[in-house]
Amino acid sequence: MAKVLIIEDDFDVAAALSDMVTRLGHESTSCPTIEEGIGKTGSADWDLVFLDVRLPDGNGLDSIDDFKASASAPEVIVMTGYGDPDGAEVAIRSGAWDYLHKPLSFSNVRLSLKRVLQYRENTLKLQKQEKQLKLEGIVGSSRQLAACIELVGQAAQCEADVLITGETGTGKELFARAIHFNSARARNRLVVVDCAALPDTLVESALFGYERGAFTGADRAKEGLIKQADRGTLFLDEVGELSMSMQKAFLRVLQERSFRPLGGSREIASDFRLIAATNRDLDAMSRNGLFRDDLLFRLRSIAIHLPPLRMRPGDIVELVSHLTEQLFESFGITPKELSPEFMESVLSYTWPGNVRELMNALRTAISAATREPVVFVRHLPVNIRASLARSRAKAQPEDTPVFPEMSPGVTVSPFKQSRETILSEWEKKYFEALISSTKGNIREACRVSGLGRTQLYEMLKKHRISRLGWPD
Amino acid sequence: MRVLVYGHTKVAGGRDVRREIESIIPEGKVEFFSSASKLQLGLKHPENGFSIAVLFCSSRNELSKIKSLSHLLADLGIVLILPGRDDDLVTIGHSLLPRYLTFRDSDFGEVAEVLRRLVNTRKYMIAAMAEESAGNPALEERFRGTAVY
Ligand SMILES: Nc1ncnc2c1ncn2[C@@H]1O[C@H](COP(=O)(O)OP(=O)(O)OP(=O)(O)O)[C@@H](O)[C@H]1O
Ligand SMILES: [Mg+2]
Repeated sequence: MAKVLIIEDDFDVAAALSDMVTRLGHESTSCPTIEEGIGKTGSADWDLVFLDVRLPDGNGLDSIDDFKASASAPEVIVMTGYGDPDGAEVAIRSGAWDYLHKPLSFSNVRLSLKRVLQYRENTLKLQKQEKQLKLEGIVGSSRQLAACIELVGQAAQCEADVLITGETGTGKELFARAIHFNSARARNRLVVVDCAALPDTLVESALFGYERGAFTGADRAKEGLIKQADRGTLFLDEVGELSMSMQKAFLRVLQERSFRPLGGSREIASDFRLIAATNRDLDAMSRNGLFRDDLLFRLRSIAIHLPPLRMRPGDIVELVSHLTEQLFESFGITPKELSPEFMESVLSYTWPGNVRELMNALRTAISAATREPVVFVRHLPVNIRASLARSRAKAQPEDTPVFPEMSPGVTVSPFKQSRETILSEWEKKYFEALISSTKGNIREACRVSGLGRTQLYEMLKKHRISRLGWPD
Repeated sequence: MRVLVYGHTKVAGGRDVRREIESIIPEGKVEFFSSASKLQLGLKHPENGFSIAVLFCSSRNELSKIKSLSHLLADLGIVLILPGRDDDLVTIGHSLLPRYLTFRDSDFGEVAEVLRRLVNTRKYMIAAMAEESAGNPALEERFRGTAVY
């Protein structure tokens, strides 16, 4: 049963709605003004507010944020009058979850209520799950990373196969570990198979194991990795390197959950959970006939794509502060200051090796600066400085500088401002791409981005991105 | 990139592993360690990214010493050679998340082959990263899309 607050000055409308809500098995309270309604939010845990627009003490739309900011963070459904075609758009833009046209029909109220409560239940469950996840070693709180962490939570709760993709050094192994250690299999083994490190012949014997005498040199039997992962998790790393024949063999193992060791005469069962990872584009490989699409389809029951570090400037800042602290401690030196130019460089470099490269660069920089109180750009590895110099030379003078407030005499603008500028530019690009790739479908955009409707609309508003023109 | 090799040369297998490694990696490019404490110091070196460690454990005791260094080994590509096939040894072995795991009585030719591939992949990756940060799109394509070998 949900608790519903109705803000409506027309007594008849309020009574009718209240009656519908009660008939649907929920509890409702009505107030005729915004002020009275806000007053009520302090005293109970409301799930939902039905909000009229024209109210005696103001426009309901202006109070949406106040309702949502109250302790139980209820969702808001706006009730708009007929003959107000823009009302719906305005309501959603103002942060409402949904809108209903008056006069209210029972079926519309029922549908809307059902959807919002389902959504609410899901988000609450996810929030709880995320709090309970052990995320040792994962640093960063960007939206993109949070969306990946949410998927870790879902993957940990079930047994579905998982495919983790992302450029080198983005944390695929780190995330595979997080899934395993948060799953019901955490007490059992996590077994790595590195498909890139094993030559084809060795992949087969390593995965399946062999009986004595299976081939020359097999002077005793060897248990395969699939069996060693029994009751645990098998991490098939660099899965894009598997040959076509091994893909076929492995697909069969996935379907049967059993296999035959080389030279063996019987099938052996293994109850393992599969996580696969790659930095290759498996879709492209499958189009080119290099990766079986039936295998890809199976692997991808849950897909986690770790975005490159350069797309998450916020995470760079967090990682730098976390990693430098760790380094000061492990080198046994007193913490040093990082010069603003240093941070600026770290934020504008492209990090093709992602977090691994960042870790390396910081390690190099700090050990180069052991005798100095401040870490400067010149302490960064030379290839990074060279790359930065090249891209600066390219950017000047006609391109817009990354740091717009920079005047010739001053090398650097304030850190926060620089970060805001970069973040904001990046956000705009992201949301334009999101809306275009989801063809303006808000529900889909929410799913892809992992954002709530309100946050999504806030971003669209902030960057003046229109979804109009895209059919719903 | 560094290649670190741990293993007692007094033990037969330890010598064999060394020989195999020396046969594929040029002299001077490999660092050998004969005790866990020396390895520990070696791992504190700043240039650890993209490094590889071949760890030959001839006894349970050695394996637990290596296990206690796991925080320093976290981002290295590990090839692990276990002292025996007991279940609990295999479990400790996998907890180090090795790229390849084998036993002291196995064919070390395999170890050499895996090591060669690990070295190649990493070399390629470092080169590709350098090219990419230098803005060479051709290699960027290759880096993301096609075979490493
Ligand atoms: N979000 C993060 N927070 C903290 N450390 C991270 C994060 N992402 C990655 N790392 C660290 O970066 C290093 C590389 O991560 P990992 O090995 O998981 O990358 P990968 O995607 O598997 O790379 P590759 O494709 O090269 O195998 C590890 O030391 C890992 O702990
Ligand atoms: Mg990896």
